[in-house]
Amino acid sequence: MLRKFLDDLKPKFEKGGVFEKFYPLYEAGDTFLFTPSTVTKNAPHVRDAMDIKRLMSMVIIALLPCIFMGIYNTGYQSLLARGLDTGLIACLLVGLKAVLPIIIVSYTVGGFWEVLFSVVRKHEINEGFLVTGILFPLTLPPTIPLWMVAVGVSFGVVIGKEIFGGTGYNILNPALTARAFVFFAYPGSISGDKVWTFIGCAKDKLVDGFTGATPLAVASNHIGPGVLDELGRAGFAFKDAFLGFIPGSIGETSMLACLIGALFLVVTGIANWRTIVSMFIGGALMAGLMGQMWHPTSAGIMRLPIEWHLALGGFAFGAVFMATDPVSAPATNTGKWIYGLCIGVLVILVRTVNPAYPEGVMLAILFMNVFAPLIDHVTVGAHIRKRKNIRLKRSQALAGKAH
Amino acid sequence: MNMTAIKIKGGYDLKLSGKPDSAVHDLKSPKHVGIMPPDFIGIRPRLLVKQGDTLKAGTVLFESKDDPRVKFVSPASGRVSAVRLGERRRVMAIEIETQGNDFEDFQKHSKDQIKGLTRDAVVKLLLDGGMWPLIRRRPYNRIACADEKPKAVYISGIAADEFHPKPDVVLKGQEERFNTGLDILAKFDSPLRLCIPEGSQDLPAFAKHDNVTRHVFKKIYPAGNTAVEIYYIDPLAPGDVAWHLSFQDVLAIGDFFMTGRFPAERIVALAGPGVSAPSYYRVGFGASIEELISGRIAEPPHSALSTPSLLLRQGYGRTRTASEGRARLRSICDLKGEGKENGAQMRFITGGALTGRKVKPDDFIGFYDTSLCVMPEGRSREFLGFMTPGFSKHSISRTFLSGIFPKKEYDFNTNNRGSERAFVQTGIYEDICPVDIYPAHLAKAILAKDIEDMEKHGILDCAQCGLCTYICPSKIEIASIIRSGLDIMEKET
Repeated sequence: MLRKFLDDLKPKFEKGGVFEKFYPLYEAGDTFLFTPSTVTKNAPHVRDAMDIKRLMSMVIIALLPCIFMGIYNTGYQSLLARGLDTGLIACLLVGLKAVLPIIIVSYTVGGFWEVLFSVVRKHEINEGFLVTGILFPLTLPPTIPLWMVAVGVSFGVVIGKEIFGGTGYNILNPALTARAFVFFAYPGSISGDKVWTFIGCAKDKLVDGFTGATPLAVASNHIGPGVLDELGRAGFAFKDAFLGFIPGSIGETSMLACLIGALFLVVTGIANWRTIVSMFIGGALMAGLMGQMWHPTSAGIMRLPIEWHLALGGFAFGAVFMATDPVSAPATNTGKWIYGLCIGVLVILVRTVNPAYPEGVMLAILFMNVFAPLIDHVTVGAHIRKRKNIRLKRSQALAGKAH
Repeated sequence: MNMTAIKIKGGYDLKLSGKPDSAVHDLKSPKHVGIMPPDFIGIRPRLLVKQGDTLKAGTVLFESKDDPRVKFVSPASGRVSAVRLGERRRVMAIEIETQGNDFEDFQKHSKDQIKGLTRDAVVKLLLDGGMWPLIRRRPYNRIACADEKPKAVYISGIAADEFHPKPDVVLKGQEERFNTGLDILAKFDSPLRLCIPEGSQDLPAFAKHDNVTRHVFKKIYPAGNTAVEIYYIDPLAPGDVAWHLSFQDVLAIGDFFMTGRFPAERIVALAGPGVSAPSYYRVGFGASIEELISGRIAEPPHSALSTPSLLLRQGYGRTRTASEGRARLRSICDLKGEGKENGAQMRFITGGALTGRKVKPDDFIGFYDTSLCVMPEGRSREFLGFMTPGFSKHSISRTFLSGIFPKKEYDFNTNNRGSERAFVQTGIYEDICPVDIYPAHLAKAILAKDIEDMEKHGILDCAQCGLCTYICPSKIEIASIIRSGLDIMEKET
């Protein structure tokens, strides 16, 4: 009977109907609830069952560990800073209180823009937004003011995606574009030491020694060797960084959660493993190199061991969920290797050499997004030459055999 | 003679349910046969018969306006029962009611006589006998030009897909005819290349033969596609021309020269999720689809919310009368429904599921086709369909549980499986393309009408196998775009 209800509703949204303009909204709801009845017109007469809806749904499933850990850790860091009991339920409740409003604002405001553009351009609402809408909150500190979330997601969706034509046409990663806007427009709310722990109004009830600094900030501010001791003094062991019990942006602290997501995405065939692997390799190489290039007065972060670099600062999150965005990344497999390697190298370069930014993932990925078309131009050109050579090679081989 | 099997890149065997068993059934003499001029790409027919004319098998029905030497003949004796016209009086089909057993007599040839034939003599015999259209040329898949010398002549001895009749079944006991066909084709004085599937090197028909080079391919779709075979053996440079035929076409040519009559038999597969007992059938050229499927189609799903996996293959009675059969078919397939597509519950595809053409039951098996694939139209709407675990939903990705727990075969239907979006995923198209094309890039070059770019991306090598379009999660009609691109290429060059 739901089907009948939707069928009866349809004429109101079709040509001549009252809500003719809002057909994209009807279509989005209708095809969400029921698969479309369109059949193929000519060859090939059958089609693979996966569509973009399924693809985006799988990405959201892959994000669930990060979302869960993000909520849990936000609550954990908050309760830890206030010296309160950090039981699972308590952490989740505090975490939800911080994170849920951000997610709701992101989906609602971003969704508004998506619907507006669909209605004006007269095309169906694209599912790409379902992923951007959750990725963006995961890159923000839990204390971010909600109005900034709204402004940021608007910038990301409109300037980062819609003006280029919408999902599939964007040059830059929309979630990172949104974050970059907030980062440069409101730096005090998205960087520094004060923003990473959700304290709310309990500003006076904090434990002694609480600084709120992220491990990267600690390493960056430290001069000379002994950076691991410094981190230890601040209360950070590698286990914390790997599991995610450190202050940071909501969804990126847990490398383990990101790796679970990576496994899911690669096994289902959605994300290209080359981007993820090459980014880790690039980061590892550069971190190793930086570790050799330090001198006594360089920032401690230069001597940060490779595994720390890969676990901190949203490196894993960026590798698995941001760099792998197929639209803003190069299209060819070789291109993806180059792209990932460059991102990895750039991240570490920005972190270690630039004192103003202890984090570099967002900037490195956006930078390489801009270079992706150039990388493609080169790799596709190489492919075209390869095709020509195949032709020559095979006809020569044949001529050779004839004699 | 290269006997190590060639492994093509990419490719994929779609496990459609309804694979035919290897038995060959003789179909009683059909009451109707027909020839459909749209099968012959680029031919403008000059009709030489009208409704009511009596015919013999081999009587010329129409000739090509652009080259009147190329004739198209009736496959059976009888009379012209209808000439179906389409838009702008285009001849869509010539329907023949069969009567009697009369043949136009062309010349019979013994083995020695064939040895003595010259190229020009062979060409004339093929043209006059209406056999010339069996020889097609690449690029653009048109009928070969009688005056040109191709770079090579390719014979595909590999079944076009899992449903098409297999060479070991079709060629059993037909060695003489097949070899005669090969000898005739050797007269064109271009290298003759026979592509055979791995494991069939010992087939008597595929034995070493004078003037024939054999090339072995590992069996995976679309290794049976001539364009793929050409690409792996000797890719065509711009300006090159190659001719091609299927192994059944070669049999037909051999038969024609040996008997002096238009060949009476083809083996056609009737298969697919919509068929109750998929099998091979011995029919003539242009067999009536209605007669082939009568009594052999499964009950299509009735309920609007049924899923394809509920389709049960029930044959419904062998002793149905002809008129009962037609009434039943009409209710299922909307026989008279010209353009009323929404009523049809079954789709009939002449050719393969990924490459073939949609036809109605009152059409005929295509001149070049040896398979009729039947499957339900997939108009049912599934509640929260995109979220189901999907054990029975086939996907090359592993986003459904069918990827982790694959089944032996899947009941496909024609549902588009999603709405059209912009290109999102990358890499998947390139991985499956068998001829080293970047399909998304090619599609974009075509949409931009950039001819140089299209050519560089290898549009002329495209086998039109349909795989890139099959897997596209954005449901972009890449195959249609490529078809339009080829049209543009042909006009401009």
